[in-house]
Formats: sequence, structure tokens, C-alpha cells
Amino acid sequence: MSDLGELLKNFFEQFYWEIIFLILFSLVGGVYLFGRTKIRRFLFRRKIAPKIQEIVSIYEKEVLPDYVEIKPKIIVAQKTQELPNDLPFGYIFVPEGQEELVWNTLIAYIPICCSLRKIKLLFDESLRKSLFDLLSYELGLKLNQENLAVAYRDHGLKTYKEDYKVMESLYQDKKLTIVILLEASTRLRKSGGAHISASDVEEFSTLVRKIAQIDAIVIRVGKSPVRVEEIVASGRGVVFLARGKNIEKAIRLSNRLEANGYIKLSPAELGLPNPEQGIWYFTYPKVNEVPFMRVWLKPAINSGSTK
Amino acid sequence: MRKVEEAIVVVTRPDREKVEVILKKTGMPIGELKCSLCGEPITDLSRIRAIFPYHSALICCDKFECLVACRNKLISESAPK
Repeated sequence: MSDLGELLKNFFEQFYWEIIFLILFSLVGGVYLFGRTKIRRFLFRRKIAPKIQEIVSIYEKEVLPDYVEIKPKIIVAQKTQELPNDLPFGYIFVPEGQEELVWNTLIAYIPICCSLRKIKLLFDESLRKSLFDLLSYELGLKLNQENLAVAYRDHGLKTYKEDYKVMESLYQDKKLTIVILLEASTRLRKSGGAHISASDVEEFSTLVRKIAQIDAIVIRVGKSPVRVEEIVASGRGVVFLARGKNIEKAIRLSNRLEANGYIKLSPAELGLPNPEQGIWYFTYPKVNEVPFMRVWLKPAINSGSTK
Repeated sequence: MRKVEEAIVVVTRPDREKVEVILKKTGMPIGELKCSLCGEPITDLSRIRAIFPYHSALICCDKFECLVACRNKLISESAPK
């Protein structure tokens, strides 16, 4: 027995480094053979998942704030077995080593899988496509992907120029979220899920185009001070939007403007009640609902003001 | 209270095995893989960008025109939720 121990001791002493290298080599080989899939999977998730979360977050907070109807759930699947059994909204492919190519795909599809899935039905075809071209353009800009962003703007201007301009104007004046999407949402809720007729689409699309033409800036009444003198000096119309406790403040501001030569737009002229009070449904950062009021005013002298 | 819905989007690598499984799920014959929009064959899977379960399957290649055309189909009135 002691001979065997002596023999092993001599063997280990003689081949000490060879044994160490053999163990290290086996470990590295084992990791490579059995762990490479996991490593690739880990790297894929690490490269892709944060990028997608960032895009969705920017879209929800900066491109279309206040109106998120659907939160996309992103599943990063490396293995075939990880594909969900039920059919998802869609599958997006990212070629290995070409992760940058995914930007264009995401800029095109994130807006349609994030929001407006129901209310988009109220817009006619040309307005609907313009709306999503504009949202892709804005998302591309926010992601610093200017080259991709302008492709959507160029496409919109080339294919449906007037309606793209309508959407652009609504977005820049902040009327898209606060007026148009809220109105579409209210109408859908009132319809109780009933079929949207061709007349509904025609009437709503006419309203969208008309509101884009009314020269008015949207001001959210809140903590920031609103200077009535500056509004009067600008000579532009104004839309006050107030939620919760700020409604009283908006009423006071509206009265002050009326004392300074402004008048409320008539409901017939606007196509909407004025002032309008209702419920504002929040879904971000948490689901909540508060009362809101929206009031449109314009300078009395320039009563027919359009852009 | 409005219900916040969830749209599931799967992001994956374009391996042949996965693409075949996805097409099988959507009920589309595998056959020769083509872009549903421009009709060009996508033999090189690195050019495939998306598959949407729209009717059977809407396969989209890497061309900008196809991305927009595919998106437009998805936002058309007949698109399933």
C-alpha cells in the first residue's frame, strides 16, 4: 500500500505541471462544449433586451406620453424551445453580429405594437398611415437614428403629403395626445365596442383635419406659471388642459383671457363641446383616472383664425 | 378602469429551425421562404426581419419599402388584434 502511495507521489511530482494544464484544459473544454449555448444566449439577451426596453421606454415617455394603451411584452428567445406556444403579436429577427440592423425594424414596429391598436380604427387609411409614419419618425429622432427617422418622414410626405402635414401639425402643437387621441378613446368607449361604421371614420377624420387647422397652442395647467400677457401678445389661440385640482386654475385663466379680448370657440366651430369636462384615464406609470377639463379660446379680433 | 393590454413580441435569431417552427405555428407551408411583400426569396436568413401572424403569416425582408408595407397591412382595419 505504501508502495502505491509512493508511486502516486512520485508520479504527481514528476508530472505536476502537465496535470495542472490537463485539468485547466478539461475545464475550459467543458465550459466551451456545454456552456457555449448559454454564453451565446446570455450575450444575445445582454445586447438586445436592454436596447428594446430603452426603445419602448422612450416611446412611452417621450414620443406618445399620456397615451399608452398597450404595454408590449418582449420575449427574447435564443432557443427554439423558448418560443411561446401561443401566437404572439409578432416575431422580430436579429441576425448575429448585425445587432445594429434591428433599429429600423423596431422603429417601424414598436409604435404599432405599443399603442393605438383600437383607436386607430377611427382614422381613415391615409391619416392612419400618416400617424404611424410620424410616430416612427419621432421615435427615430429620439433614438438618435436620424437617417432612419427621415426615411419615414420622406415616405409620409411622398405618399400622403397633406395628411402627414396634418399629423405633424397636431403633434407639434401637442394636440395629438390631448385632443385627438383622447377624443378617439372617448368615442370608442361610448360606442361600447360596437362596429365602427364608414360614417364614423369619415366624421372623425374630418374633425382631425379641422382641428389641425385651428391655430392654437396647448397649455397644460399645472405647477408651472401660465402668463396670460404672453398668450395675449402672441395673438394665437390657446387650449387649456387641466386635470384634477388644476381645473379651478384653468377656469380662472380662461376668465382672465376672456377679460383680455379672448372668446371661447363655439362647439359648432370646433366640432367638440367647449369647455369639455370628463375623465382622463392614465395607464402610466400606474392605472388611474382623474377628472379633466379642456377649453379652447381664441382672440376675438381674429375670430376666423386658421393656420 | 381601462385595462392595459399586452402585446407579446418575440425577438430571436433567424435560425432555420426557429423560422420553420414559427411558420408551422402560423399554419404556413415552409416551402421556399419569400418576402410576403416584394416576393423575393429569402434564402439568406440574415435578410429576414419579421414574421407576423397575419391571416397565415406575413414575412418581411430587410427592405424599407417592405417594412412600411408590412406595417401598413398590420394597421389596416382587417388586421387581427
